[in-house]
Amino acid sequence: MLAYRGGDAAAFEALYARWRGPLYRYFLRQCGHAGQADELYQDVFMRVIRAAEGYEPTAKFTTWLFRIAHNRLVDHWRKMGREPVDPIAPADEGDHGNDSEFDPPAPEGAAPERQAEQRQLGQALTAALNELPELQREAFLLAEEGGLTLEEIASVSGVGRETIKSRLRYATGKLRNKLESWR
Amino acid sequence: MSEIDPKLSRLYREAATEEPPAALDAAILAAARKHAARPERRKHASWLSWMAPVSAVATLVVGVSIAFLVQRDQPEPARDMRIRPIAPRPRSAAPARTTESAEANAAGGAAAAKAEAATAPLPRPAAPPAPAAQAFTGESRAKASEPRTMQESNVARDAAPGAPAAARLAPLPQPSVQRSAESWLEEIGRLKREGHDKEAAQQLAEFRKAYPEHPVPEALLK
Repeated sequence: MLAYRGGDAAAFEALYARWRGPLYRYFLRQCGHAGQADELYQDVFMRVIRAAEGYEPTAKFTTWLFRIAHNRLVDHWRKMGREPVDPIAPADEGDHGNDSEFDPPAPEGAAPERQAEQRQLGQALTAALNELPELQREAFLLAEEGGLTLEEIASVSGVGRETIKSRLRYATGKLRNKLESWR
Repeated sequence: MSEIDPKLSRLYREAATEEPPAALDAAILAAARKHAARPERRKHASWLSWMAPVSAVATLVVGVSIAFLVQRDQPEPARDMRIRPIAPRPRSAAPARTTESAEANAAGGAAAAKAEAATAPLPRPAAPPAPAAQAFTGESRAKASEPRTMQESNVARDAAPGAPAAARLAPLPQPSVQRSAESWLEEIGRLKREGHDKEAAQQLAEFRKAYPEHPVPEALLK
């Protein structure tokens, strides 16, 4: 980003190539609508381009990028009249009680039926992810797509580390339960 | 990350293959190249580096000026009290001048007439305490929202901090003044510490729009 600030367009292209997929999927999963995801995704990268002149590396680039994305998403939700709530409540506690590891079928590249099963399992996971509450889904996506640590996710989301840890545990527990039939 | 099952993570990564449309890629990359090639870019960047200190100095100058003006006007009643026995005659001139400045600020012709009427008895030695005393009466409280002389306002402020007149004179931060991100965050922090959560939230929302890339301290987001 510093190189791009200095006028090196190729530096931006390298950054873009690295983060285009993760950022796009972050918006796609959170919006559930390709048109909205396109708009938000483009807007965030345009903000990055405009902010390049004053960019100072106060945080890791990924954290900075996903913070802009988070802010943009929150603005989008507010514009749509939605206020995401954190549904972590006593009633949900059973959802993540099962700490046993999820055990999907082992990938066996050679067997076509195995590949098809793997694809279906992936689709089931994506569908289960869509059913998660926004804030739990966001924590999962920031970890998976952004590769962020608990502290970084907490910083991006503006909440404490333990809150993020809790959201991730609930998210993982719910996803495991949804995919139970695939064991 | 230990909170996510590694197998679940692997499964997700295998399934998550969506990518942005090529048209979006092209539009973003074109914008990035165009931005990098702008000739005034470097010049603008160097100007930006001066923006924060210049804004800070400008804010300081405005703040000190306002504080100086307020302080200069404040001791007038006491000074008048001391001077009165020596030179009683000029007293009517000084309040009239401050009245004019108050009138200019308030921009109210009718209010000016009232203010002049209020200062009319001043030539008599016994009269000056009257405006101060008025500030405490219920009748004058009803008139508190009307434009008053600067002198009256200062007396009222000394007697009752937090009165509307005093609020008008206080060196409040100027939202229209260009601020650096740091000074803005400090102001938001101050609002939160003073319990003005709603204002702090509004300021934070504006801040995030003005500085989308600027990190916001966690304490301000709670």
